[in-house]
Amino acid sequence: MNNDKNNSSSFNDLLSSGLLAIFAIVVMLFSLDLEVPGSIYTAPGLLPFVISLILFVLSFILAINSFKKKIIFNFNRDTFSVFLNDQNRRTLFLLLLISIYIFLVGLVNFELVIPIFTFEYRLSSFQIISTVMTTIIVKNFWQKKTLTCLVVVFLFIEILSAIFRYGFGILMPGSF
Amino acid sequence: MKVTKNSYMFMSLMSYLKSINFTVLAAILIFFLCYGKAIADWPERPITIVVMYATGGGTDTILRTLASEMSNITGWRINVINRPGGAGALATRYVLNRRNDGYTLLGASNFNKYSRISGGDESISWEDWYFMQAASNTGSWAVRPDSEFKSFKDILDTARDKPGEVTISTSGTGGQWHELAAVVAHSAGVELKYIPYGSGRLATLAGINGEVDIAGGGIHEHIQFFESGQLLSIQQTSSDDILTSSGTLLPSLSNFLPSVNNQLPPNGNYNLGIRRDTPIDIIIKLQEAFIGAVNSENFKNILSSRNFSLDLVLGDEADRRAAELEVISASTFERLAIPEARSAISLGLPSPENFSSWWPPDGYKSLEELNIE
Amino acid sequence: MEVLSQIQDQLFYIINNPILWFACLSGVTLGILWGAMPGLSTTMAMTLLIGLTIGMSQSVAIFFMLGVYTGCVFGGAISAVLLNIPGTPDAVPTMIEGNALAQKGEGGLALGTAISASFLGNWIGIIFLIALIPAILFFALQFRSWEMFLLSIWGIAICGSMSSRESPLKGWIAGCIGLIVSFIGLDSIHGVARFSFSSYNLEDGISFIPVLIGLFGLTEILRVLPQKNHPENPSTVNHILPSFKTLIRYAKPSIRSGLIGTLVGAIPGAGANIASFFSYDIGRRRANKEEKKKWGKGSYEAIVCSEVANNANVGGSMLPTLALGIPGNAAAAAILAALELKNVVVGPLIQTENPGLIFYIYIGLIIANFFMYGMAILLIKPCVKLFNLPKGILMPLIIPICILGSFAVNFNYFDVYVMLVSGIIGYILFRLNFPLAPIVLAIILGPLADENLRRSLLVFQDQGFLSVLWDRKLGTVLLFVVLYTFYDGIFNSRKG
Repeated sequence: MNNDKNNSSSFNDLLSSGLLAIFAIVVMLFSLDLEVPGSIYTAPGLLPFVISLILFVLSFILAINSFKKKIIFNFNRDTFSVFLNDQNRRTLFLLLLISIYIFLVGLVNFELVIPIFTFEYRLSSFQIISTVMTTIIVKNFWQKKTLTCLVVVFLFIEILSAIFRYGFGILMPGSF
Repeated sequence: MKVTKNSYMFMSLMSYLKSINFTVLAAILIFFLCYGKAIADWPERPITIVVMYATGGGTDTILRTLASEMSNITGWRINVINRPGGAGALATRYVLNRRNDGYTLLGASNFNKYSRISGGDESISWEDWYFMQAASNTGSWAVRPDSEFKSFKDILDTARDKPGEVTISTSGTGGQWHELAAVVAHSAGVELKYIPYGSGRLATLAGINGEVDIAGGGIHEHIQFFESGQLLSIQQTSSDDILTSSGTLLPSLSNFLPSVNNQLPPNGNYNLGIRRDTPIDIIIKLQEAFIGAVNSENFKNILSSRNFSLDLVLGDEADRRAAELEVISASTFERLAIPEARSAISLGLPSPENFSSWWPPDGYKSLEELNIE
Repeated sequence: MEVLSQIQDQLFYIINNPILWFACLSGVTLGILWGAMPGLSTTMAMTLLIGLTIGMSQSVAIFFMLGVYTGCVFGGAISAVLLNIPGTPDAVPTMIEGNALAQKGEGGLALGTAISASFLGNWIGIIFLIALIPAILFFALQFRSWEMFLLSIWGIAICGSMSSRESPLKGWIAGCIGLIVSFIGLDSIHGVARFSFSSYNLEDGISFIPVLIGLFGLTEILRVLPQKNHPENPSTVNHILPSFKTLIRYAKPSIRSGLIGTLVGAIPGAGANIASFFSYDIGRRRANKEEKKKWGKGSYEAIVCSEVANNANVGGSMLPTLALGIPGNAAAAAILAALELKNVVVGPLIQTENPGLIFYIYIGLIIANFFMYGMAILLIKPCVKLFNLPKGILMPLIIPICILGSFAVNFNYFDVYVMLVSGIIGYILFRLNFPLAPIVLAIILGPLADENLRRSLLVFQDQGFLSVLWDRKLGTVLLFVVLYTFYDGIFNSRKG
């Protein structure tokens, strides 16, 4: 068991060292490409180049270390089933929901103004999207009645935005 | 193929979302008749001023004081937020992305003149904005008391012997104090080494701890250290000598370089920017409140305790100054070969000498003309 | 004598104005609650507050802001320990240790230790500040570009010890990634756009607060929420405050950490609170063998080191703010802005132009410290209860706070995308067993390192290397410390 874990972790190390090395080379190329307005000492690409070179060396050492642990490449069905196990699928699903949430708030901008007696109640797109998306997330991971989730989330979002809007007088994302 | 399809779907989703957004707005309009209320009621919610520099600096202090005085006079609620970065480009973009309803204003300095020429936001300060100027500052050079330089002449002598070895701190490459130092050095015929720091305050600190030979900056940044004896004044850019309240003499640059005053960029200044396409009634309301705030006692106190001078400029004169400053800086930037800077020719700007014959350019509309339309 | 009478006047004034006490208490309470919220940072609290203090009188505004500052800095430890999400970057070392303890069911005691350490740290900061103003100011003025560069490189070297389980290798790799991210944007010497691909937002650079929220907040949500049975920390909160005997045991590290916190805070323009990282690393090196083994797996001494330093930093950061008008970090900048708005010109003349104001601020810090201690003890139990809510409801509710927390520091929605991306990268790095703390530290230090290295090269252009070493003695000492830290990381870890 322990051996297995070691094996997968050194496999991970090898994988990440490869990715990091590529990343470091890309950064090096980009920093060489930057213009040099003054002398070489004050070149904007100086430190980025040095740091990415160091990163390249470090990832090389990481790769050597992972070889020392003697990994055995056994690509079988298990390798992939581990990757697509239940929890990872749930993580991807959650990530998808959060991304949709964040992009929706960024892209949709409107604000409703509802007069209640003398008071103007303002409902921004941020509040509506937050309430809907957070309810979906809560519903999926809390397993309570949808209405309960909605009420809890709605109250929370209203309090949060009231504090920012009326307490601090700042503009919420997507309000005018 | 797949990519095209996806991006097409994305586009249609976007337009779908936008149409929801529009229908909802339309529905609200019909139901509650909230929008389109008479402008006489403006403002019906808090106004936000977006300051283009960080908390606690000169621009921030002046704009926040103006905001609180404006709301004292009118009873409006005015919030101030800071949106620093890109020499003002990010704050500019932020305000341009909001509605032109006068609820989001720009807290700027120097009429946002660097915005276009330094390669930042492309909105034109005198064509897309209306900047009201409240106050101005004065440039200053200072040295440590134990410095080998005792006067402006010492600096020039050393700089002539060793070109490019005398160091001066600036608030940043292409910033106000860099521009000023470059113009002074150019007209004195010497070469200095400009060391950029993040802000005028840090540039002053570099003079105090001795990293640079000369601390560049404004009088408002140096005055305290003159009085405490940590710095000595070399020159300041107003046309006359200044005697501080405690009796320290700050010599004027015109004593040493009589010819330079015509070439200097006018002193730095602080302004409140409104988008020019804002309804004129709102602009007039804001201008009234602004004039009241500038003339308030509290604002004058803040100015005098920091050695800023009250310098109210409005209307066509403000537009003209914005344009002139941009022209002067564009030519200075070209001489300094600032990377990323846009050249005057590519922007259709004249040289500083030809400015008076060029102004007003084609397409320029003064506020009155806009009002008639 | 004049000084004594000024202090007396200020004390008399404060005692006779209960509104000041109320302002300070409400500031502290608000600060602790704010800091305890995952995703809301001290920087954001302070910048938002400037607007609120306009309506207050000068004395009330100062007490209120000092209260929030003190409260927030401690409050960051609560969510760090209980949720594994730090509210502020300086709470990251506390998070590493405190959360390990919380998983063992010692979250209450860990927080109690943090409270006592914070209380102590504030005191040490204030005392050092009052007693040693000229010495500390002299020290702070020795820091020029070259020293600032070495200090930030030392911070990068420390990244190695932020990875507890592995060799320093992965810590340094994470540090390098953070550094490269920090280079995005306009460079401060020539104004050349680096890696920004013509985007306005990228030209402005990646700020560390959304990265912090993404790396720790979002990563933690992605890690915890999808688990079938959400892990619950055992909630034994009966035992909160450590005994007096324990505190005596930590006297030595406390004083050392307090000194580190004050000195790092006093360096003008250092940018952000990095004192707790330094103190954490030095503490690990100075700890005895027994304690060293616990380091990274839940050491109380480590919590003391980090929390004392990070609270002593509050006092330290007030020094350059008040004496030179140059704030050490964003929170101090907000206090400076509030003072400026009350027409106090902050700088070397503050004592002549506003006699007694400095003492008023010190007394404010002391009062805020007492309130912080009391309110923290009162608020711990409700906080532990609150954060023991089912993870299924607690974690999703953190998401909107993270969005607002990333957005409202600079009012830029781009920062929210930065938060999302850093959350995803953070999760991947977490799965690959990389430590995340060095990334945040490196993003804070990267611009400092880059700007100061090139600026000092510009200044030293015509000098020889040896004459620089001889002229800048503090820099030379720092250089050896940095070299030793790297040497130690490379050669001493192999034995282990």
